[in-house]
Amino acid sequence: MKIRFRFERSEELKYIGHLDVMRLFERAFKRAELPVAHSQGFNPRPHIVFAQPMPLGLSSSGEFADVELEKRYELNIFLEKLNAALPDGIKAVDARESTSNRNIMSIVEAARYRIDFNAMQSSDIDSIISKVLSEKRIIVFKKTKSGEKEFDIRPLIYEITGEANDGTGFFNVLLSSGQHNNVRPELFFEGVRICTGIDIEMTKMHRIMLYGRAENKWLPLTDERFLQRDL
Amino acid sequence: MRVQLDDKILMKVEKPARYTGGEWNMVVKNPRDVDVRFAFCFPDVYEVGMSHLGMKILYHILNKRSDTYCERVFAPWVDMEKIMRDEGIPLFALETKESVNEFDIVGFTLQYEMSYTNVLNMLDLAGIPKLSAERNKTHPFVIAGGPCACNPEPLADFIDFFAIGEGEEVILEIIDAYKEWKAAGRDRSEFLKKAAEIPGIYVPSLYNISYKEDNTILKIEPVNAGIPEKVRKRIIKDMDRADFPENIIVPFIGTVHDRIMLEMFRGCIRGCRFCQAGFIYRPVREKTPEVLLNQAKGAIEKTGYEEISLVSLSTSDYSCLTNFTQELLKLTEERKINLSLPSLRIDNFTIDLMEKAQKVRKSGLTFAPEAGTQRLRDVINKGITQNDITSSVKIAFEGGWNNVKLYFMMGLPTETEEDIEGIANLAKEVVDVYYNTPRKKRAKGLKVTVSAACLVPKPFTPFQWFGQDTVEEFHNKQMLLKDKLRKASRSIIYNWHDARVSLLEAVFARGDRRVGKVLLRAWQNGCRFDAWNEFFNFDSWMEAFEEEGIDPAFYANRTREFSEVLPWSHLDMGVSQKFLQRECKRAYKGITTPNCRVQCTGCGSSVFGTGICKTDPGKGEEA
Repeated sequence: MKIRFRFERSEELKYIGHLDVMRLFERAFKRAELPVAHSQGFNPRPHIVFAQPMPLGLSSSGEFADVELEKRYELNIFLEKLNAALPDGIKAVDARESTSNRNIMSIVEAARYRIDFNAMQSSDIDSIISKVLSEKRIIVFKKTKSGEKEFDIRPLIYEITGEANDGTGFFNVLLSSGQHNNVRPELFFEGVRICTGIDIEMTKMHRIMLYGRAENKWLPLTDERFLQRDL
Repeated sequence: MRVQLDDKILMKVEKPARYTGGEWNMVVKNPRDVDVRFAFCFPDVYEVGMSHLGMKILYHILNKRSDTYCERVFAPWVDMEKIMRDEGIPLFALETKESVNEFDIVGFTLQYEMSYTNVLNMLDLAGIPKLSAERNKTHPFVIAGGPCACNPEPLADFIDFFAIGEGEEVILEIIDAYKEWKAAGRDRSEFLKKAAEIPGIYVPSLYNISYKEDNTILKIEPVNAGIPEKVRKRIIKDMDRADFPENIIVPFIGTVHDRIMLEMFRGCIRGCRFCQAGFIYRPVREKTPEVLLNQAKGAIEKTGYEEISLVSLSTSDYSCLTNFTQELLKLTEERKINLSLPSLRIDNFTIDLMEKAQKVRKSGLTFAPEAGTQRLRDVINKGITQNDITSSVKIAFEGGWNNVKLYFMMGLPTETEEDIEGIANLAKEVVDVYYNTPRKKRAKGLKVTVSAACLVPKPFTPFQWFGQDTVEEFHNKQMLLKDKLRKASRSIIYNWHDARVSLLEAVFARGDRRVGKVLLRAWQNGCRFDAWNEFFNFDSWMEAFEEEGIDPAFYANRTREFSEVLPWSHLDMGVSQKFLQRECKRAYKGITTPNCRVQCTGCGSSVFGTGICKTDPGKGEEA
């Protein structure tokens, strides 16, 4: 059976990279004695697919993964067993059965972040936000395999709100995410620096939720619409 | 004091998870609820230290006691050290993040000589005086153990006492003695005297060393009666009953050995004359297959690891290998776990075993002929022939392996140019075996890697008297071999070791107390992480020798007489000096010595009355 689950990673476990998280789950499934199906072939790999890599330093309350199990489990039993085998700081919070054939990575289209910052000059947060939103284009340089590439992130910034006082504050942003047009928080910050000229330093990043898009709405990946067999 | 680590620090350093702890199976206790806090220090970075089985064993044994909390401490990497020094953050333990100077006992494991400056650096970061003589009642006791403790003299000024031999039992006796001393509220020196009464404990400050005019040692004697003249190592008599951890810590980040390590036995029957481990861990003591299988099963369930590795000095010499590996394979196949089988002698049985065990790609196979000619292999008592090697690689090539590593040593006693050329000839022979393997059977793309280390003569081996080659001699031999290998085949890659590192290893492996000053000076000159190429600074070391007026050649390159009082002659690792002298003489004559199962050589380890000496003592004792 295929299960899609949402998990959270707290501050204490944010200092490991994506490969470490993958290995952590593989070992947790083994400890939980939840038999994960493996790929066929020369080097069998467990069928666990994560919706979006988690860079080192990011905490999150809205991560998703698909796992293919060799047996059927009640969803609450699955959660209980898995959580008993996960270390403090990482927790599965929701599990749904999935009959979709779609790769979970291809569903992700946006992510909501809370990004904390220190700004060197005190500036009105509302004017920063309206400045960013009023731009037609925000060109940043994105590192690619073949060097740096110009990249217009303005159309990929969907929403910004925020609060600030005494030089510290946070943004709550909805950014394009996923396999195409992924805007990482660092890139968004680069854009803010470029179009406002303000010296602003990111101090913390937290992913609130990963979303897919269906019926003109942003929906979490455990929404029924993403779990059904594709027509 | 609990150190505060936040993003401002952790997001600036490489691999911040080195410092955050919280791994699966980490032991959590309230430090206020225990009597003894023990900081287990590994003097290298997290990924190296977390790969060390001995630490896992002692962590487990100490933490089983409700009166003791053992925490882990590693050397912070240079980026973190800089921040710690800038911000005034003391060395801390991973479990509670509390500073190490608040602990009762700070214990270092000494696995290699080139970690010694890290010991000093960690004491310094902890705010603990580096010299034992400068510590007072506000400071922890600093102790050490591990294989390098069999000649602890270079660290005698810095370590309050050493545990000689295997630590599982003695460490509990140390804790008991400490509790008693603490409750009685006595002087620091009282505890040292008490500790010296525990078998296997060596307190360097309770021994006087006097020197002759020629700088060799005149006498080593205890400062007063009641202190043992000789300290004999401790061993575990019954490996089946020794506590072995199944709930080992599972790191979040990759470590050097990131897998379950299942220890099959201690000791080695072989007696290769250069190998310190082959002598200091005697006698061979095996665990039974039943115990091993239970421990494997327990560890798999409690860790979730995807790989298990057998650990011993020579896997092939395990007496029930066939039955045991068959049972173990059932367990690992069913759970989709990789079985790693290091240090196997390659034959038809083991190749078959490896095919079954490693479903993954065929990684390299390693062979250790150690010397290039049969004559020299007889000198070092490496009981394998040219034919053993070529028939093994033939089996490997036919089995589809195409990546072979060959390990050798340079600077062995009686070595000539012919022996160095022999290395190239043997490597060429291996290449020929490959090309004589039918095309259909062999895999494409041969790669033969020749690694040649520089011999570091070690205490408690038959070569303990032998003068190491100079750096220049090593260099000449390396250039000769490089040239010969280049001419032999294009499939051969040659790796050599930095002879300057081997020189320092030789000094600190066989040094006396006086080289401790050099260590301290080198640390002051900025040396640390000397085992890491990128930080090894030979010039700083040479300056340190010069500043302290100590000649490294006296310790490294000088051949000693049998009559010389060696710096470790007050320690007893179970092998007698008489036996080592006998083996040394046989080496120079090129006479091999049979292994412990064939014939007992009377090495002295039968005093422990256990293991192979008791159950399978060859064909009777040699006179």
